[in-house]
Amino acid sequence: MNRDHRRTKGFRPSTQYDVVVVGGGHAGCEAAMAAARMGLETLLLSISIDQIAQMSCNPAIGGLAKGHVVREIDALGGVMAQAIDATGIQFRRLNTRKGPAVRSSRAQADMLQYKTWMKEKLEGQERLHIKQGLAEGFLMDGAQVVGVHTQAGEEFPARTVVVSSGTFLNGMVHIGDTRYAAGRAGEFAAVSLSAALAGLGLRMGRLMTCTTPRLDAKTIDFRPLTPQNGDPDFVPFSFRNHRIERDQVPCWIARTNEKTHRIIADNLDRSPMISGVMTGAPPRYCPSVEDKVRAFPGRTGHRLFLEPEGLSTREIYTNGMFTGLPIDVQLEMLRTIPGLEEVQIMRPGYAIEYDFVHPTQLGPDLQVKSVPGLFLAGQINGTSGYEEAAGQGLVAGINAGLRVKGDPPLVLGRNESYIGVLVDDLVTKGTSEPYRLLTSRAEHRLLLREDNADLRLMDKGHAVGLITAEEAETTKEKARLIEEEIERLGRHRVTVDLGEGAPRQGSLLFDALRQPEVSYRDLTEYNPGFEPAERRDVADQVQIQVKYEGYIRRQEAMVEKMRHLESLRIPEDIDYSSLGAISAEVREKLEGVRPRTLGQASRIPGVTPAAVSALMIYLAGSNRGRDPEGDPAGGGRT
Amino acid sequence: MVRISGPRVLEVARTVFTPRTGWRSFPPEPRRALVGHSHRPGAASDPIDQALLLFFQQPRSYTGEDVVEITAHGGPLIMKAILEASLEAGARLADPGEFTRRAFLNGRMDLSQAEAVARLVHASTDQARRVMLRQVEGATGREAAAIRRNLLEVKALLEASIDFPEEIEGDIQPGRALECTRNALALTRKLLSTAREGIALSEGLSAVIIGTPNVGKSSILNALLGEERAIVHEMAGTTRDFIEGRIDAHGIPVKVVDTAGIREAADGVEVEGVLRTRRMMERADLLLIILDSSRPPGRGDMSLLGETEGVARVIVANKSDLHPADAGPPGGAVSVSAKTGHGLEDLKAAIHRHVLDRGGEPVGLEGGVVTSVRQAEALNGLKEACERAAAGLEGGVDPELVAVDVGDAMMRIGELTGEMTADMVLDEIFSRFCIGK
Repeated sequence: MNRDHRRTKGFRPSTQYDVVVVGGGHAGCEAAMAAARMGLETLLLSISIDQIAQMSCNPAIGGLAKGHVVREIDALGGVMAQAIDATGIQFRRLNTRKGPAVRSSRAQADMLQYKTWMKEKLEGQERLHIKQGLAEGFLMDGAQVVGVHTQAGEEFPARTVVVSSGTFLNGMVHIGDTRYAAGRAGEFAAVSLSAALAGLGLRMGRLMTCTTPRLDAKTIDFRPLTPQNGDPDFVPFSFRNHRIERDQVPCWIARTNEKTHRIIADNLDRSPMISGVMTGAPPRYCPSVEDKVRAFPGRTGHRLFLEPEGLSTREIYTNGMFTGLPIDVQLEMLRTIPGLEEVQIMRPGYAIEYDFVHPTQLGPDLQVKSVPGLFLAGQINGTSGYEEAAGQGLVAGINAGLRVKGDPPLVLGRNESYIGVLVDDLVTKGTSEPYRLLTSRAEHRLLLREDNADLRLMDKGHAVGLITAEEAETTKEKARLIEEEIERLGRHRVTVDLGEGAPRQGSLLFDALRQPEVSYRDLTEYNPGFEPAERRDVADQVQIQVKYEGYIRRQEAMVEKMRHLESLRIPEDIDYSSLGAISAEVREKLEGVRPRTLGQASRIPGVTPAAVSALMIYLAGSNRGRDPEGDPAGGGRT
Repeated sequence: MVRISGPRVLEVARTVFTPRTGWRSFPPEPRRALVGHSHRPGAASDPIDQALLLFFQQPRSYTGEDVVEITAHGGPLIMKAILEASLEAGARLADPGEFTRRAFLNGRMDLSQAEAVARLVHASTDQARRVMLRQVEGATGREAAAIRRNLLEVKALLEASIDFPEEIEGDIQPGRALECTRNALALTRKLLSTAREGIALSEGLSAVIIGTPNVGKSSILNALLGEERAIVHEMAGTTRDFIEGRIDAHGIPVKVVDTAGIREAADGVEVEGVLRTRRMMERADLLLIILDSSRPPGRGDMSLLGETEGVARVIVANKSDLHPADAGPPGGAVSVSAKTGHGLEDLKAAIHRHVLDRGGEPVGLEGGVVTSVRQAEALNGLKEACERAAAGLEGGVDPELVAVDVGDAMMRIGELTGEMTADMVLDEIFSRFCIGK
């Protein structure tokens, strides 16, 4: 008998799911939770269910723009914020000396507790089923995806599928010149699934990234290192929590030196990220230490942050020392660093390359435009970072659910969330390197703050069914109080003359508060009859909104200028080959994305300002009925 | 010369031109003149004229596309025939400014250069021509690029300090952002200071000659033009229509308009003329107020002087060849004799000086020059945004707020050069800082 005939094939352990989520990382967890909480029968399929919510790289959540995303996830009804509040071991607010828009929260996590907490949460969720299995391909009904099948021969029919496969698609791990196929060090790669996506006609690319060696804390001398402690008064990530009641542990700052750099420089050719062995695009945002040494030869030292991976482990993450160098070089360079002279590596750093799907093939709902029912989220779309992944996972899970329900998709605007910026950047610009969110990517930055994520998004979370009516009502009430209080400031005046520098007597309290040195709490000094709002969260919002008001107005005026381009629609049947004045390269990029507006065209990388002008002139002139470039122009006399 | 541009120029060239030696190679060697004959398509045996053909291969051509130029002996008939032959061969007539537009769209020049081409072609004074040539050669674009470099550095410094607070600590030189902002501001102010003279050079001025009757207004116009344009008669009120002419006032092209003299008691036709003169005065850039220095200013003169106080004007004391009256012309008047030509150069110099009376600097011998109101408006916005950014940095305003002003400033540069600022900031950050923990 032929072996193949004995193979399990087409075994259907259950009848029909509404949503199948392939991959149990940070994107997959949010997608599965969202779909199940929206009342849909949901399956989370993971290669290894021990690794659900694994932190593959650094043991931390948050950071600039990322902390914003975590709060947005919370406001929309996702889980990441609650998970990190419950399992963090150090909490800090970054940029406290800058303005509120760019203050971000970041926390070190106990990695083991984090994933245990998350798995428990998922397992406890009604309608959410978890199975271990390696997805190999899709069940199709014409162009539409109607489920997945696994290596073990199971078939899971589903009305929608979310793929959030992280770095597992055709993953290849490199440590020096050693390499092996893996989705993470020591775990299977998903080879067939990548081929199946390509088989659906999707254009794929390749990226690379790398992680750091993990050190044994027993072998570190902490005395020469500088401790970095958490904040005692930390505002939790989740709007549901009012304070964090957990003990905090420090991280430690170390520093590389010229000896370290010499060892790295002498071994550059042994790094697969430098030697050309790896073909994917490297991440600019967490470059390998070999890349840093090569790009900045003048630097005499780079900071390293030694971060504990948890309370029940002695493994230390070496933030700043991402590397694909061979293990002997890793050890040699680490031991040049004061405090690490005797260090032992528990796990080496490694580089990994993997396939991704060019995200310009997705709509703003994260559904593949050419394959109805198939949603993609996370690193498969070319991003890096747990928070970016989780934000996309939430959007994809919600939209898969809305599709099943026959409701219109949730599309978040660039002016209402970082998640909206992220998704819009991905689906309109695409990416050629692992994409990381930064506050500078948000043109509406002053509006998108951690402190107002609830005001921005909770009603949307409520509309899709992830935020309760009570929570939504509480936020509405807060918004109302803020608005009333700002109005009140526009009615009351400064009644006391406090001399030079102080707000002028008779001026509105609103205008007084706009002065940089005046705070909301001070207003009673200028008008003793004025009683400030009791609620601190309301008072904070009033202060921020009033102080930012002038700048927000200017920021929005600039955005408005650019938005003019958004109103210029490009006909869907435009023939780019008839635009003689643009280069073949630009034409290819325009053909690839087929932007809907001139604004979108202008955001595509590689589309030059002159090409946008050419397109604008073409659009303006297309009603002349003459093909502007079909004939060579002649004439002109001396 | 006939110039043809576009992807199919070589096909056209082949049908309307035959080299004396035949097409030894095709396409012909770029930038090498070929001697031969131009002719209608299929009519090589009946040539239009002897001609030279020059081929410029893209992108090394004016428009950035393939370009062919055919030069013949000239003459309207010959040029028209070559043009028609080219049209017959598949070319079409260029729109006004189309070669330059294509050059801009193909990235061969920026907007400030493209704008200057038309102004260069139409320059009516040597100085205007010189200044426009500087623009065509990219002087303004280069200064805009220097401003942009400074602002880009400021933006990179601000954004890096916001997005990578822990990684770049110590990498940022304190005060560097303010220094670059001040550089940008200084460059902007310098460029903007050329706006008055630059725009005057490029767009010209209109000056209206006014005065009471019979002070010699028309004589002044004629003297400035060096020809008898206006009829001059000792009888007051000879001039009823406006007569204009163009002069070169030390480089500034000036349209000078002669008007009817302003006096009260007048007949019907003259009343209408005076009304029109007043309307003309309101639109003029500059008034040339003519007085007769051989007699004391009369009531009419005094009321004219009073009424134009604070308006851009040059007071001209004419008839300096006659004996000056006891009470001479008011101080600051230019003494001129239309009859002898004395003082005419002083008058032109005074017109030129007037351009800079309300601020601004001479355009100088090199560097960028603002030559249009559009550029001046963009630069004004740029200056204000730079000033706000500098004040913010000095006053310790939060970086995300200063970044709004810097972003605004960068957008104004885009308006100046016709580019829209793309995602250059991140590239700048990554070339300057070592990012990533």
